[in-house]
Amino acid sequence: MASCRQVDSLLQAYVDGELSNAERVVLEQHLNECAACVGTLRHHQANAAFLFEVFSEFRLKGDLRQAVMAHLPEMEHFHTAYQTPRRFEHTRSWSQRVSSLMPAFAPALLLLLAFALWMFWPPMQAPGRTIGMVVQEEGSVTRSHEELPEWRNVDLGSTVRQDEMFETDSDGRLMIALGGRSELKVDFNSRVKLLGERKVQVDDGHIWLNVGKDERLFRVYTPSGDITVFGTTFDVAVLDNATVVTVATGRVEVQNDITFAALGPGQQVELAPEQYPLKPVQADPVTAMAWADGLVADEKAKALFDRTDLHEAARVMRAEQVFVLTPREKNISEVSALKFMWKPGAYESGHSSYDVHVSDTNMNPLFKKHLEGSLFDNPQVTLHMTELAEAEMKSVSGVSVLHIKVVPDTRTGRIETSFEVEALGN
Amino acid sequence: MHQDKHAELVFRCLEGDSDAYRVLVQRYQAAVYATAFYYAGRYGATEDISQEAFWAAYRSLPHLKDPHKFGVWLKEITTRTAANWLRKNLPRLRHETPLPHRRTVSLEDARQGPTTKAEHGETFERVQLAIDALPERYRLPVVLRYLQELNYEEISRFTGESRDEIRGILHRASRKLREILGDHGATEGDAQWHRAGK
Repeated sequence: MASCRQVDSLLQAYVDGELSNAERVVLEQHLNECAACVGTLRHHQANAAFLFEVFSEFRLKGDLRQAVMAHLPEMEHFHTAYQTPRRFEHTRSWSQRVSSLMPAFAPALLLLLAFALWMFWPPMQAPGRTIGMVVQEEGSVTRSHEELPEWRNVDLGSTVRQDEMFETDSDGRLMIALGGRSELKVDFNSRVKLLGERKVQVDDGHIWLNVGKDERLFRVYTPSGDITVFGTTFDVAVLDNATVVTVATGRVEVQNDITFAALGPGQQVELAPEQYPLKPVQADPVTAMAWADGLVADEKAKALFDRTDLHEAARVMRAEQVFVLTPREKNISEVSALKFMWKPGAYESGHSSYDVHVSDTNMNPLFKKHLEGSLFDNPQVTLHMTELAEAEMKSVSGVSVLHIKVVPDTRTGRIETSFEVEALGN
Repeated sequence: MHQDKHAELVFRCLEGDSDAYRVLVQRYQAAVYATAFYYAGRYGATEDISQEAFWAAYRSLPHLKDPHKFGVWLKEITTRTAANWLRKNLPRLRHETPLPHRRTVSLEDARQGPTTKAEHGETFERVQLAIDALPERYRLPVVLRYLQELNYEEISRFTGESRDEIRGILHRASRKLREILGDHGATEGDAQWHRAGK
């Protein structure tokens, strides 16, 4: 039976016709019995109708095709070796895949390994880069991938591909070793998607992460906000309206749509999408993470993982860039805006977006901004600049030192940009 | 999956089949138009910017690294085209921002304003202010949905956010908009709601 709170989160998608069949059945059952939620639904419907109506006069009328095709320009030639575009990569045979994982060993050992891998190898491989391995599983756990959407069983020792999703039932738990040497434990009733060795999306449930120290940033995405990790052990619980993050060792930065906060060992914060400010509190990590103690890697699977070459850092990316501005040096008494400057690179697209976190001298978060990747897409200009944060700086006064951290968000692209930052003022 | 069909069209364009581009224009014109409107609608430049964006995309199509990401790439080109247009045509903007300087509007400002005026223009102004008061990340998805009625899949393909994220964003955005704009009283049975089924 769905509660009113659960149903509330489905209403907008229902109005937009975007619920799955299962969700719609649950919702309609609830609506049959709950006049209050029917009332809320009517409000959603009326507001949607209102917004569609207001925008209607500005909607595209007609078609752009004629005008666009009539004056289609010449396509540029790409002079450097442009390979014929690959069509759809066919799934490689499992023997090709096995040999790519095999280190150089004596033939007898090779045979043994081949046998071990064959024992564990799942019957069907989802396409995508290998990023880790399942080193423990208990109870009911299933996996799926966009290209092979049916949910399948999870086998111990099977490899994990980029963009694979895993779901645990009320008795299912899972442990995954990721390249770059991180460990992910997934508790009951959870759903995660592995976006890469250093990127995990938690849609629901509870995870524990031990992140290996690596030049690359590790990020966790949840419905309520994001978590950026700097070599640490921490716990993430995704609840209906918030994500609770608890840190055991190391340092973690969390952000939602409006602001951000930093957590150290023994701290915990509740991350709701529009919460402001975010206030970490003291918490005992041992209690919060006790559930994960019982989930330990299977010895054989772990040994198998150790023999793969997944610890190689695929690409070293610079971590965040930090600037400390002391406007007094330039005879500025009040900062009115921030000026960001960068030199364009050679690429016209594929730039990473950045989250800009601005704190005061005592590292109290002041505000955050976002720089879209497309801002950096213009190789023609010699120097770019943009001025940010006029509105935010108006409400901040008496700050003499600004601490600015610029963190890449690589979901939009992986090409990084170096900045210089100046304070503007009178 | 849509991504595959559109990637196929991109490959065909690169091989010289310009008719394939015609189909891509048809598929993406709503999203491009909404993005152009978002940046420069108030200056009446939406159609110009949309056409220029499609031309720019065609011209630099060989530079697209992953044809499966055509949507997001096209969105970035549209954004850049809009920014260039604004820079050229509005020298009064005193910042050198490549993107228009969207000031954060306080919730108080957005809540004020005519509440009973039937004037369509004033209502639209109020809605615009309300959208400006939303977190940055919500604004384009809202315009894509309500200006051009794109469904979540189309919005996801164009913005690069996952479908789940779009769902969450539109849920929170509509709640916030309701807060700011006030409820538009519904009576049983007479509310017509939109289903974007394409």
